[in-house]
Amino acid sequence: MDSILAGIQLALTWQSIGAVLLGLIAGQLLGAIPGLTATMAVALLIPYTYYLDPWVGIPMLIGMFKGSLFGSSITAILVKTPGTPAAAATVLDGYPLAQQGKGEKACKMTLYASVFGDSFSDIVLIFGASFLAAIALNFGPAEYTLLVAFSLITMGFVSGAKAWKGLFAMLLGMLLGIIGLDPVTASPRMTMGFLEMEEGIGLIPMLIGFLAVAEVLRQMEYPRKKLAASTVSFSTDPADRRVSWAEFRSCLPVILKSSSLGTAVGALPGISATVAAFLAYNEAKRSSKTPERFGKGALEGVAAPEAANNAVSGANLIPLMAFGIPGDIAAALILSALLIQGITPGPVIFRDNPEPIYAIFTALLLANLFNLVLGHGLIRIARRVVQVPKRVLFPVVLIIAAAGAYAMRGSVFDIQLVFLFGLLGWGLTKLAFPTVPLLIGFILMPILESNLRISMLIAGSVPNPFGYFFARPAFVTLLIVMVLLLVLVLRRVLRDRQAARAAGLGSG
Amino acid sequence: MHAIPTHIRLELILIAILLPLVSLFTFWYVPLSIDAPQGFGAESEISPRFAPYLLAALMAAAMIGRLAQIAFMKSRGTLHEQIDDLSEIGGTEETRRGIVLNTATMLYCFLLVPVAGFYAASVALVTWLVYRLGERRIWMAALVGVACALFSYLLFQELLSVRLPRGWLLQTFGG
Repeated sequence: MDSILAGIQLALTWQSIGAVLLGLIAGQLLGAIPGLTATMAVALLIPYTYYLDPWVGIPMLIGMFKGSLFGSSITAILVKTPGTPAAAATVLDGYPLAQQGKGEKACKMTLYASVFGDSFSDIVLIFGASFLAAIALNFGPAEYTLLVAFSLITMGFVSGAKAWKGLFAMLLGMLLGIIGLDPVTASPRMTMGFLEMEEGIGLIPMLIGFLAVAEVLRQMEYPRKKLAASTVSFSTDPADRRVSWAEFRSCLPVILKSSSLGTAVGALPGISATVAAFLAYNEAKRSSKTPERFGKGALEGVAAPEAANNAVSGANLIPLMAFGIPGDIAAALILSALLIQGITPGPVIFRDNPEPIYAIFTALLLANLFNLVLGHGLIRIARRVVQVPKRVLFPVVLIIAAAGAYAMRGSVFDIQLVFLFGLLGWGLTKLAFPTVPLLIGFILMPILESNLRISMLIAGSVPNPFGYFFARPAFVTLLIVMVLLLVLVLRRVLRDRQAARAAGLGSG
Repeated sequence: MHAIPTHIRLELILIAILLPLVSLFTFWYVPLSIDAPQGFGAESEISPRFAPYLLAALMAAAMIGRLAQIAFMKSRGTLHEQIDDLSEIGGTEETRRGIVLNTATMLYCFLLVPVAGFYAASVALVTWLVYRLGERRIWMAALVGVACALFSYLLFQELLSVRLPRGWLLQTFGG
């Protein structure tokens, strides 16, 4: 109890509250600029948190992430440019509403559904993570190997249109993750003679290169017409500019169901918010009495994906906080910021030093509350924000990316790495390889390698290697739970894909 | 006999390039570049070569699996049902623009920043990019470049006390 109170106190200083507010405002504004994605905005900010006090830097990053998620939905609704892949489902009904002049109404419904979904999953995180962390204290290298392998396999298979490309990208990321000195023998591996590479590739240049530089390069190659500023108009009818209580109440069952779905999907490491958003959208359409309204501007069509994809962002922190394993790129970004500040999430921190964890939980809830209040302000100015010229924005992003990478270690080599990864990310995107599994593979490889090598050493030293794994109750239980969860989610994903394919073929 | 769709043909070309590259990595690069010290044989699970070999084998397996899947689908005549994941990545003109932009960023980080320093290099890159992306007033493009460099200077040098790279020219002739 003392730890909980100490954690809350850490997050309730005026510096922390100010940082959450500042992060939210910056995140909402940056997220609402078409072309700037939520992950890009956060990846660009991470190096700067190094210069801040942990309890200013971390709350600011949390605020920024939540704000940019909401901001990215604004661009999805108003200019049909989702700021995150997860907001793509919001376009389906959000953009038709904007075309009818009801952009403000759609944005407000997005705000309410997002904050609801986010708060729902944060509460599950607060209660679930400590429970899981207590269980995880009994985990050995075999269980960790299984957990990480499960995350990687799931992510590799469900990312991208073709499974082999997702797997290949993930394995490439894992290969990049082993560059540096071997943890057991200290032999250099794939360092190509560069001394800088012996420490391994830095996470920050990698994240900035793939998430910011590659994305900007990809967007800058579009024809100039597509880079021109967008124009949006809102209806003057007050009924089109607000969400009435009756409208919100009618969407509440959908929001609740989508939040639960998003939380369940997010708690599974490896399955992204995009999957959750589309699952929730399809479920809302399937269970609706008037499914024909979907795709033409149904408010439930905006509420469902938004509640689900925001629920994923909180639930994604469950595997991160409980096991130290990031389930998605958002959690990976939070992990890198925590590591910069010397905080390593996982079961041990819950046992030995839980204050930072409770401070993070408090900051998450605070950010939701402030997001709700500040979101209304953003909606009012959204029309102007989405008109920021991309021809000015994109070059500036490249310079911020270069300076941010340099600031971490003071090395020009990091600037070069950022642009090399930008080039690699651009090339992979052109060949339709998903880059998120690559980043997750890169982050998880050191954990997987050390645990796998230790497990194999132990298994090799006993007469029956398989007996070693299957004699461990934690391993067997974890295996059964994971297989069950995977079957349940994959069955649903496949059912939705088949339905989408059938609809496509039918119409075509 | 069903014709192979273009995107599947491109996928086959990609695998035909990647598979030899993975083999080259496994049989040439790993043994050449990663030492296995005495007592840590290449076959041992604690050898530094264990992880690269495992990953390369899995990469090859993923590609061979895909080849088998394509062969199976071709024999059943269902290749046309495959999703065309290459249709949304842009045409030749966009790729050409992308190559030019990537060349410019490579010049920026490998040549301009080490030689001319961060600020001069950034002014040059931003000015060129803003102009290229449609700003026809060259002075306006240059103004954006200078403003960007000034912002970086104020943020890093003044606020965070981080000295961004000065460059070889300034270090040699600027004192």
